[in-house]
Amino acid sequence: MLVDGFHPIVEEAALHLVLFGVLAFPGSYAPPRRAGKYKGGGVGPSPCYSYSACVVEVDVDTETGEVRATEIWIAHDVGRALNPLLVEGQVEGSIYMGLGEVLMEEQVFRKGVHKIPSMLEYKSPTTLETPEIHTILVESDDPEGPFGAKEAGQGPLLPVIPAVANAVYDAVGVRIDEIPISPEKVVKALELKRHGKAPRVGPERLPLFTFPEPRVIESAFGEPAADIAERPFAS
Amino acid sequence: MMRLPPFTYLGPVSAADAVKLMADHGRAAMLVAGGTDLYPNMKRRQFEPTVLVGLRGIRELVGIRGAARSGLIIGAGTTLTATSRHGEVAHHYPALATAAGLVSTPQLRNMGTIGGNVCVDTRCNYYNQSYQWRKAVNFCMKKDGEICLVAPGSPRCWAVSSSDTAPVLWSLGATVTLRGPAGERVIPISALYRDDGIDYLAKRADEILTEIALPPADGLRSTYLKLRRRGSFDFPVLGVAVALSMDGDIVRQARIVLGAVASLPREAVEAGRLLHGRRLTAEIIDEVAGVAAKPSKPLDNTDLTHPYRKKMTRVFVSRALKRLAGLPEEGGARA
Repeated sequence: MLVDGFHPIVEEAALHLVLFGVLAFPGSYAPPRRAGKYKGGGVGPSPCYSYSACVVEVDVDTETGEVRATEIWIAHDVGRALNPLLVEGQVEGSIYMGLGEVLMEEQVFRKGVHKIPSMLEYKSPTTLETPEIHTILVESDDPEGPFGAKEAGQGPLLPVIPAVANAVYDAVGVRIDEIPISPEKVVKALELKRHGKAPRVGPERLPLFTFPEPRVIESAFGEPAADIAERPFAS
Repeated sequence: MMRLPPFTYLGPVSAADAVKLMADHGRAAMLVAGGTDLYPNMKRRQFEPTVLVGLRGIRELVGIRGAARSGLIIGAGTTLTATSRHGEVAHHYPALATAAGLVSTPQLRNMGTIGGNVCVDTRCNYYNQSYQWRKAVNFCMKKDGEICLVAPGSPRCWAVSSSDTAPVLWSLGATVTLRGPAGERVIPISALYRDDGIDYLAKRADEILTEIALPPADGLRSTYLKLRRRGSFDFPVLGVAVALSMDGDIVRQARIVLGAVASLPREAVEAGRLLHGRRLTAEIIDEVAGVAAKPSKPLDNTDLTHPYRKKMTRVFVSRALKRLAGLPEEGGARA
C-alpha cells in the first residue's frame, strides 16, 4: 500500500526481505596504509581518535575494603552513531569490562599454571555488580571514519579504571596504584593511613627493564616524522 | 567442553530403597540430590562413580514440618529456595533463611537441596580444577595425588568446608538423622563433620542424610554473614553464623560458628562463653569479636587472600553481633 507515493517503513522492510533475503546494506571501508613495516606498525594508521570521559560513584567499606560502583556516567565521542542502540550497548559493555579489570580480574600464576582458570574463579562482574550506567553519545561527522563513525569498541573502558581509582581516593583518601583494586589492598592502605604513613598501595619501583632507543619511522602519510611527532625520549 | 563420564542412574522412591541400593552397589555408587555440586565435580573427574542413586524421587525427604515453638524438621531433600522462603524459617531462624538464600544463584538454589549443602564437598583451588590442570601440577592428595599442595609438609588435606548452611545449623544446635543399613541414628550436626579435607563427614558412604531437626526457637536471635568477592554468586570464603538465646537483654546462651576457614565449620567456643550472662554492648562485642577470630585459620586455597580472610573474621563477628544487638554498624563511605 502506498501512502503519498511511499511504502511505510515496515512494509518496505518486509518487501526488501522477500526480494533480497536479508535487510542489509553492503559497503566497504579501508583504513589508511600502515605507517611502516615494523612491530606495532599496525597500531598507527588510525584515521581518527575517540575520546571519553567517565564519572564513577562508589561505596567503600572502610572496615572490609570492599568497593562497589553504584552509578556511572560515561560520555564517549563516537563520530556518527550509525546504530545508536548498538553503540550504547558497546559503550556499556566497555564499562562492564573496565569494572572487571579495575575491581576483580587478575592474572595470577602458580606452579606454572593459571591459578584461577575457570569462569567461577576468575571473577568478572555480573549484572548484579553492574551499576546504573548513563551513556552519553557525543556525535560528530568524522571525515575519516566510515560514514562519519569513529569507534565504540573498547575505547570507553579506558577512563573507567582511573575513575574508580580516583573515586576510591575521594571516598576514603587512599591511593591504589595497581589493579585490581581488591578489598585487601584498600584495607592495607587504610591501615597505613591510620598509622600516619603514605596511604598508598601499588608498585614500589619501576620494573627492572631498560627501554631500547626508539626507532624513528617516516610517516606513511607523506610527512617527515620529525614534523608530526614530538619525541619525548630523544636526547 | 567437559562432559560427564558414563554412569547408571537409579531412582528409588523411598529412603529404604535408596539405602538398599547404596548397600548393593557399595563403593561404585554415590548419592545425588540436586546434583549442583556432584555433576560439575564429576565433569572434572573428582568423582568417578559408575552408579548414582538419585534422591529426587523420594517424597518423604521433601518438606518442612513442625513449628518454631516445638522445633522444625526439615527434610534433607527440601530445596534451598524452599528453605529460604519458608515462613517459619524466615521468621524464627532468620540466619538459616539468609544462608540458604545466599548459596550460589537462584537457578542452583532451585535445584540444590539443604541436605546437599550440608554435605557439600570441601573445596580448594588446587582441587576444583579440570583434570588437565590438576595433572599439570601433579595432582593433590584429595584426588589422584600424594601430597597437599597448599601445605606440602602436612600429612593431611586442607580443603575448605564451603557450606553456607552448615555453620548456621551448627550455631542453631541442629541435629541430623542418618539412615543406613543398620538403621537410623541421630547426631548433633557438630558431630557430622571431621577435621579433614578428604574425609570431612562422619556420615558413612552407605548412609543417607534424611532430615535436619531444629530445636525450639524460643528467645532465639540469629544471623549469618558471608564474605565473597561478588554478592551475586560465589562460595563463601568466610561465613559467620551467630545464634543467641536471650533472656530479655541478657545473653543466656551464645554460639558463634565460622565457616570456610577450615575443613569443617569451626565453633568459636571461648567467644561464645564470654557472652554468657552479658548485655550486648559495643565494648563486649569488640572483645568477643577479637576472641572469636582466634580459631579462624584460613590457608591460601580460596579466593581472596588468607590474611585478609583472617582479618575479616573479627569484623564480621562484630557486625553480626551488632546486628543482633540493634547497634549501628560501621564502615560505609561514599564518593
